[in-house]
Amino acid sequence: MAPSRRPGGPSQSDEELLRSAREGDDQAFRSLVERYENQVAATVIGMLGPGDEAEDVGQETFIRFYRAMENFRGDAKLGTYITRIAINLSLKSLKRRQTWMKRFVSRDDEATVLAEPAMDGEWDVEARSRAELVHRAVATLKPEQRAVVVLRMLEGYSTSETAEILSVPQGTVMSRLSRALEKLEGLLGPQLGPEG
Amino acid sequence: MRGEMSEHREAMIRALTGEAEEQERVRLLARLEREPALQAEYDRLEAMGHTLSGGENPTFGPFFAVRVMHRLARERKAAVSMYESLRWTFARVALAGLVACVSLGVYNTIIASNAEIGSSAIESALGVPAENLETVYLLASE
Repeated sequence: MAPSRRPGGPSQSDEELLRSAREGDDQAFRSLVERYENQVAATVIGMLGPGDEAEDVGQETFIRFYRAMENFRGDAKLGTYITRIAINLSLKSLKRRQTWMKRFVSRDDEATVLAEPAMDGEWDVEARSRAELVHRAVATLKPEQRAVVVLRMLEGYSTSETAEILSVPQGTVMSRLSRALEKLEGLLGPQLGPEG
Repeated sequence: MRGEMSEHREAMIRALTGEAEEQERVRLLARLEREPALQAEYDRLEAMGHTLSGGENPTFGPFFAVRVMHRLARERKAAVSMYESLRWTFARVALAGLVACVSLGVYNTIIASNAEIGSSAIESALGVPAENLETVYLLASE
């Protein structure tokens, strides 16, 4: 299955833009950013939720891609390559966030109120948008499960593409997805039907 | 039991995401018809899929590409600025070293010409004392 948020845009192919960008054409690199920014946004915001942190990781994704452009051999699709950078940076950011929270909580247990957004049964669905509900529910998942849900369910990558991006076997993708959906079902199921 | 549960759930996910092969899909549909509880689970999973994939497409907001290009330009400038500052520092250290060496050489040459220390210009500049048979004999006898 192809990713659902394929960037549209100029007639130049990825290869042509990449070649020009490697030769120092900033406009070509900017076109690549414009072409893939929504895909990166879906990954990063899906992983971290909306906010400054996601914006920073999104920018950093393209800066890393710019630095690594010379090493890109074209073994994978460009979108997959950029998504891999985005997901790795998001996982690092989540790890930093969790480490910080653990330290903070160990010093003062009352600080648990600052933990990641949690869902509860009495959540006021009407007061919040569906997107926010999904973000908050996904935020309760473990990072590795979150990555699978974002890539497989939100971005529409196939199981094999998800496995390639995360460098894990396809069976691992399926089992993580199964466990994640089970948890999400418990959180979102009672509140949202198929029509929302 | 747990393994079986995961297995049928994974089969349902594959069917919902269009990755199940025809044979697997037919087998699953037949099972769903037989087991209402499983059908209910399938419906819930389908609803979950709609909920997850049906949300708004998140974006970074307008002018994201411009912000990336500005950041890139800032980082490039910072890299150039660091290179330039290192070059400036090393150039001055090298110049100071050169001046010190020349000064020492000139000083030694002046001293040598006054005290008749060196036997050649290079020895004088380096401050190496001139040795002759007489001084060597004196040193040896000490």
